[in-house]
Amino acid sequence: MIKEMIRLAVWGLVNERSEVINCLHELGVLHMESPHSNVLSNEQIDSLRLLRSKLLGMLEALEWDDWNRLSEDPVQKARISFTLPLDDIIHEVDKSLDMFQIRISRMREENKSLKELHLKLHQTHDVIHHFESFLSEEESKGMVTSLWWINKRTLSRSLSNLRKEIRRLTPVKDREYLLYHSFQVRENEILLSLSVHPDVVEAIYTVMSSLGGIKWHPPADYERDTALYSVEAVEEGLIWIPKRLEEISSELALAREEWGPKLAAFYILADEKLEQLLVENSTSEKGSLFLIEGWIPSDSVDITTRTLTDAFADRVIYRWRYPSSDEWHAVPTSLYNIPAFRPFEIFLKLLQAPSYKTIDPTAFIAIFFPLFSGCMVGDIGYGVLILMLGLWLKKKSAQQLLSDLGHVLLAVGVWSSIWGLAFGEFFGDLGLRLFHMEPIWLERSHAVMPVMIFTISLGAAHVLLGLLLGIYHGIRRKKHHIWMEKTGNFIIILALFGLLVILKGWLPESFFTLAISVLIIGFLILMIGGGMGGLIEAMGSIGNILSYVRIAAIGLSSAILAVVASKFVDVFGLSVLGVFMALAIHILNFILALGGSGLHSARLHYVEFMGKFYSGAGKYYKPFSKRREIRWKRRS
Amino acid sequence: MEKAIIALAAALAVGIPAFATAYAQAKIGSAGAGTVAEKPETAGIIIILEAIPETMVILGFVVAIMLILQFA
Repeated sequence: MIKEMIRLAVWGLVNERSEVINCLHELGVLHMESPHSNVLSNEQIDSLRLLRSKLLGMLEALEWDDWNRLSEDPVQKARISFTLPLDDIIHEVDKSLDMFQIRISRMREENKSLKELHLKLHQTHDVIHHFESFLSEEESKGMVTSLWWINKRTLSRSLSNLRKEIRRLTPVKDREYLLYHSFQVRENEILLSLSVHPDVVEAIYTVMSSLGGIKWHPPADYERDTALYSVEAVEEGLIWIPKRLEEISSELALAREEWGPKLAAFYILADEKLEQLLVENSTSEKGSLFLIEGWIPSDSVDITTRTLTDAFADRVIYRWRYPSSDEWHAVPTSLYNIPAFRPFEIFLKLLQAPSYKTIDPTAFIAIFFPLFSGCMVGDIGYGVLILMLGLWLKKKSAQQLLSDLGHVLLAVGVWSSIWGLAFGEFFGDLGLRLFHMEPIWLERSHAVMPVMIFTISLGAAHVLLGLLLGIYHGIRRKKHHIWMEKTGNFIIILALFGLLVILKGWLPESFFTLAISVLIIGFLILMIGGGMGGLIEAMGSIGNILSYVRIAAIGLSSAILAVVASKFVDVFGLSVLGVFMALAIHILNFILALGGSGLHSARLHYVEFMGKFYSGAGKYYKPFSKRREIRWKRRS
Repeated sequence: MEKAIIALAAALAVGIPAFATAYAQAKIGSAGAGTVAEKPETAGIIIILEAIPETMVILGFVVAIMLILQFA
């Protein structure tokens, strides 16, 4: 149901504005219209915005993301320091943050550069390892070796030029000496190792440089006289760097563990303070008085007025009133449902909030969703599994959304088991095979038509209920065209149903004239209320009722697939393959049943049922309050 | 022969809507994937939209079952 809302106006002294707003902030019941305007700006607000961003930046730098596990302790500790004057707080926190930021940045930069160096050393090691035998053999002969990066296309030209140059420099009596070994690193890049006589080394450098070759070096601190001598230093680096990286990682983890909750607490308080300042700045002022207005649930009026009176006696004046029908579009929607139904409010999260003074469909969803979903699954075995899954989610999950989902699964599991009893299914026909389990109602894989008729009847009842709610909604909002259209639609469906019963011979033919008369009356009301659009709506409603046959169709396919799973044991015998295949089909069927039943049941509610009355043009009640869970992150 | 024609009719009753459903779901799916990439909070609505064309194949399935039960 949707809570009754009250428009509350509070007047107070300007010099007590912060205290009054702080009091309302603590109470956390007042919903204000757009208090977070980005247009609002002054020095304090801007400093707080900057501080908040810095804190969030630090948390991201620390890779801290444990918002859901943040306890009250750090928040309370931080709250004590937030009692100082705001400018002092901002200054102090900002100063500490800058120092902390320098420390963290250094660690992160070192971490980054070490990782890059580690990668380079690995590559260097690979290169030296590749040329190791060539280099050692050549150096043992007293030759000079060097490594060059060159373009693949210039390889033959480089070698030819080198040979010419060496021939020119080598005495005639001697034979020129040039040995090389190449290694293709990338598509066009080649690493060329050259071995020449010490007398021609200078010429090699000149020729290679003129052809665009670049001399290969190990990383600066690891370079020794020759590439071969560098290998020892490189290997030492490869041992040392991971150790240092591990040290930095544990230092960061320690800082994250120690500082993450503290910074998060400061972020929350900065966020709260900022919100408070924005609200203060959005209040209207007249002389020495200020005015703050907003919406509160009617059941919070007493506590709000009592708290304000206790804290400020006659220094505050408050007035409250019920919203007029012209204001309903601006009133926020606050839902209230009994604990058993409340988790089903998650179905409304996919839609815009219901408008104020309309109908909250949560209770109907809580009744019909598990009923339909369970009818589609219709198996005790699967039902128990869903029940266990629901229990596990409800007990173990820290997140409200998953806990609510667990509650919904619990209800689906219970109804699946009840329908399973009605259809006599336990993992398909396993119940029949093992315990001679018989259906209490009927076996749906054989009695297809009765199940289809039943589901269509269920659909007719559900759609008629939706239309009744639509009529109520129309009357309540004094919209004649809505309630007349829904009433016409309702009467037409009833008349058509009556005609069908008469044609089947279940009612005497004398009722035929009455049914036709009712149909004409319904048609007239429909045309007056909705015109041609109403006629299309009526045809749509009949389509909507037929759509409920999916409950039987999906249920039938699920039942047949479960029987197929058992057949594998018949075909392959009680072998590993037979049991494996049966299990695989059951798992597939379970996933399909769970997903399909939920999806189609939800669709029946969203499209067929809620389409008849739901008016999703509202906005949710979001009071000006402290600690609003996930929102801290979202806003970032 | 008569049974074969009934079977063919049933197959067509479920097969043609299945193609239509697949076509519609493919279109909705690709558009939905783009939407979810832009606005992840729309994932729930997209899943529901994805399920809407299945009405066609479900009704086709029902017609097929009725054909078989009535005439076969």
